[in-house]
Amino acid sequence: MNMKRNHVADDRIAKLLAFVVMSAVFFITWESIVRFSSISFLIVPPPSAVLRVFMTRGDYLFNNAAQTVIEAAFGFLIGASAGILLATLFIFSKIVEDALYPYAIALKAVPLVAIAPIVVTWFGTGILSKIVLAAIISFFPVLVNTVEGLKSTEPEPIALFESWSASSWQVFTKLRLPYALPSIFSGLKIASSFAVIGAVVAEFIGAQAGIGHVIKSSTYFLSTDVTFAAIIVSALIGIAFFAVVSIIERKVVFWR
Amino acid sequence: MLLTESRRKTSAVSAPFLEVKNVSHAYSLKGSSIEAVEDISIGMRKGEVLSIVGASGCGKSTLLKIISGITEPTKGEILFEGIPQGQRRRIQDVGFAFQKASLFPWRTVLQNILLPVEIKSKKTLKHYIGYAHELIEILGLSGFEGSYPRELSGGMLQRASLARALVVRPKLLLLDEPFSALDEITRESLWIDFNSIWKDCEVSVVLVTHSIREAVFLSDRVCVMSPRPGRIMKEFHAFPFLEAHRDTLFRKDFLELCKEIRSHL
Repeated sequence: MNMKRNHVADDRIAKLLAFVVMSAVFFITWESIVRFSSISFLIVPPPSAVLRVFMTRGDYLFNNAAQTVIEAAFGFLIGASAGILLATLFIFSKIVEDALYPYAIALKAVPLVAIAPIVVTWFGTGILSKIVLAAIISFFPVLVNTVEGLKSTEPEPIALFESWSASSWQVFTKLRLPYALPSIFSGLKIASSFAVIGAVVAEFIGAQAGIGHVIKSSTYFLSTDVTFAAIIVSALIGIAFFAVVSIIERKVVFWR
Repeated sequence: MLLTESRRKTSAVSAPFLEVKNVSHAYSLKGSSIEAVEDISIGMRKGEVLSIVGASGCGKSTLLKIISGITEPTKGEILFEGIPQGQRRRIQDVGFAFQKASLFPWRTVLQNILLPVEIKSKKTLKHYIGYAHELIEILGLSGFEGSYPRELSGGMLQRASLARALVVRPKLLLLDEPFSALDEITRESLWIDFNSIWKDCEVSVVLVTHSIREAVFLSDRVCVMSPRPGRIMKEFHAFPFLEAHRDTLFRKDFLELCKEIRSHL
């Protein structure tokens, strides 16, 4: 038992060490190549310059990141709730499913960047258009995974519930929904990172704030170091969203 | 000698308990109608353990679902204590257990066992908790009430699944190959345990299985079903559970009966 725990700890340290060494090699190589070659800092900034942006313009990055986080979070909550609700409706009404599912699939096939300008035209350059786009893009993975999850219930448990004369609401709440939770959460995890992408893309099209706005305006001024810092921030937001959903998943789907 | 005694015991019990009358069932697949079971008639007395043996896909499970009332037959009828199926309240009458234990991983053993009661009515739940604990003890699951299914072995899952089927005090227990997913050693020890449990719970049992030994060992009567469409080919009086212990499985008359049933499959 103790031995086993030690092994697990050793394993973790080894993983961390591998990551740290790899990162060190990567950044040192990058720094040296940029410093000792003729590449302009305006094209590829060295890691030290990007780090300097984090130190000197931390407030600026943070405030814009906060804007993106709010947009993505609201968009995610709205899109995910709509996805789960519609999937539930599909389970209870085959007609609704037959009527709406083709539209959902068709809309899913449209690239996000293709509808982003329209969304910004309709909802303005403020926060609303970002929330809408984040919601649209979070909606589909949740919808598809929830529908699949709710339909994946095995026939034997269903026969059991039938033998107990359970109502369809009881079958839903006590059987289908808990059965679908792992699948719903994989949808939510995909959607959580998608929501950040949706918000950033909408910010590209037109915005006064947000990490997408920072990326776009900094490239105009060839402040490549700021662009790199903003890219890193956007990745961190995506990772944070994913991590939060994963933590909730572990609490809710405790039996996995 | 023991065989005739058993026959007398079962025939002494009064009134037909369950009657399956000329039941046929067809389902449609890709537009064509497929006969699953055909003209099946079975009478069963209270307290009896009846097995239905047949090859995979012969319609055994369909028949069980028809008896339970989940599936309505295309022809024929089921009388349960003289009342046609569909006119009675199912949950108090029938307990169901399958090959897969189908315990829900998000519920503890006790919560799983009490689920049928919870479905029926949450208010009555407290009246059943005592009995659920009793069943847990009878089935040898004491100490595991609060465990989750993933912490249990296959045999224990099957015991919990049986407790769940018994918790509503059903008059009739329907078992669809409940032991077939277990290893032979676990299976045989469950056979022996379950024999006394059925007696303790005063429940009649219809057991669907593809194991002839299981059917002969556990039942008062064995019905042999033909391949699709399923029909009852022959009936055998088998070994009564009163004398069931491991040695029976190797007795000459036991093996001979198994052999004879095999020849009709």
